[in-house]
Amino acid sequence: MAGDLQDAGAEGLLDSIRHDEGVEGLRSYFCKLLRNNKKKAVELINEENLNFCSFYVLRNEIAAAGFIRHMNSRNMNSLRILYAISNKNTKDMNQLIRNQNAAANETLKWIFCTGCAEDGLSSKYDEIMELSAGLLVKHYRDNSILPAVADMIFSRHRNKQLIHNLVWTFFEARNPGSLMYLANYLSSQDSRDYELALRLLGLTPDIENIKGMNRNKIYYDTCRWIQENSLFLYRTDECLHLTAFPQPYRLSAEAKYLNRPVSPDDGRPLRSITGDEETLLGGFRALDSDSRLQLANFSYMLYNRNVHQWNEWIRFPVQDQLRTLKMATGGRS
Amino acid sequence: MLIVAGNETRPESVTSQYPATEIEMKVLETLSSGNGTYRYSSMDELKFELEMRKNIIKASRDLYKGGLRFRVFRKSECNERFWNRTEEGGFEVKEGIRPSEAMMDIFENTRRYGTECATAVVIVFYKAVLDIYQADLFDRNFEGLYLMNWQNAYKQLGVLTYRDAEDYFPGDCRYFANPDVDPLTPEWQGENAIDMGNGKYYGHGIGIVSGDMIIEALNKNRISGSETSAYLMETATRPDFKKLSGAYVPVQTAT
Repeated sequence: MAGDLQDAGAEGLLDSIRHDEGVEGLRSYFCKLLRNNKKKAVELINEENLNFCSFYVLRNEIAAAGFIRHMNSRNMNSLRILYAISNKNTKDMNQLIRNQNAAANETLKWIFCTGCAEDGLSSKYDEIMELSAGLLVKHYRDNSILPAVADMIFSRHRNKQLIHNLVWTFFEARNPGSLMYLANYLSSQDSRDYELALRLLGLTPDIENIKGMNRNKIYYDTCRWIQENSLFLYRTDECLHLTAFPQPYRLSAEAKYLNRPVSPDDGRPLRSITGDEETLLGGFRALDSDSRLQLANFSYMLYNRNVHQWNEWIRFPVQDQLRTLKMATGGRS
Repeated sequence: MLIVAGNETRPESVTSQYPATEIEMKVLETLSSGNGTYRYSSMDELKFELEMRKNIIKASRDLYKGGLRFRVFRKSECNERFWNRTEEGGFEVKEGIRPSEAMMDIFENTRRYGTECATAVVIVFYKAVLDIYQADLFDRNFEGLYLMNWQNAYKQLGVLTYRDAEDYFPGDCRYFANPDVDPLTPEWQGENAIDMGNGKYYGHGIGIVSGDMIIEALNKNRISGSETSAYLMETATRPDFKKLSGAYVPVQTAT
């Protein structure tokens, strides 16, 4: 869950005040502190275990007090990031990433991981959450935040808030295995979670059709499908921007048939295909799409059951392979 | 191949009963000679789709000329006399306001509205329906009208995205994807654009331009140093013309 990403250490004073007395209570406390003990104010704002939300709430007070020069590098970078995000200043952001790559990464991580629990604070704050997540995933290929992103998507959806950019970020991780974080919501008691999970997993455009189906069965079948196929899935560039029912990944039946993992970016095999494999694919490609999928599934099953048997079977002509499949499955598709 | 009421039909036999515009002729020619087989239960059902596609293109032109503003969802704008702006940036028709009036206001006071490209296409689709249905039928069918990307458009207009379509038609919504979009500007992750039937596309926020120009605009908003170009996807997003004609044709028959 999102909260797990926050520091497990003791809560800092400023965060504690924000939790107990709210945003206005925190501002009031900090303004008093600025008047009476500026040194203490600087110490508190530079604390290691400060949560981003408290920093964000006090950003104007910090600027007005004129002690930006006393900020630690995390806070300085945060201000630069906030400025770049507010002004959609890609040039500034790129410069920060280029010149202080590791520091920018750490700061973005701090912003998102300590700030995500307060998603919903305001539209501006929520935008910072989704854009920092986008930067972490796209620039730094940080997949560790995906569970929190998934949780945020479903939480926002329940509250009828904007999810498009978060969904895009989630799929842009190009990590097919991460679909499990969405699949987990198929077992949610909340029907809004369930319906959104169905949509995002590209399971069906017509939710009415599966209303009578056993939800547990859908959940287990989906999890099993993701586990079985994640090495053979690649990104399609589809998202909620294109359609209400995106199919974010496509299965490479050829890859599954050969049991060769593919790049999730473009579906190309991670290791070059041999001449023999290319010959095998010639027969495979001549089949209709249903037959290709059935044969791919059978090949995967056989490979994982007995690789020696599979090595023999894969060398049969494709028509003989299909015959074996029909015998094994009793002619069922 | 075009099949109407079980019979293979040539464009000439349609146009002999129904004077088709240039756009409608293009659609008919593709229906007849394209890669796919297209079945219609009646001539009325076919004419409905032809008229819808013509209206989609007209509505696109009107929305563009009216000056709809490009705004990300967080900053979307609408005329609050007719619409409530929701927290996610959509427009919900106000209680007591007729959906047809609210829809007309978008085209009469276009500059008071701002949204992203997908909602712009949804607006175009609804207007195309309104121009055929007229106010009473539109109001009966689209109570609780909500404009926000594709989600409600599926429920009310039957909008679906077709992948690897056999043919593309004027009035289709196509999608230009920008896989290497800068994460600071995710609104440039792609562009929904109406095929205008003349080699150009209406893409809200870009204009009525060629596909190359849309790609050029998207490419300006990529991660620094990227060499992965934006591109036109093999998809077509369309309302469910048959479902919509089902609500229309019987009313006309009754009168």
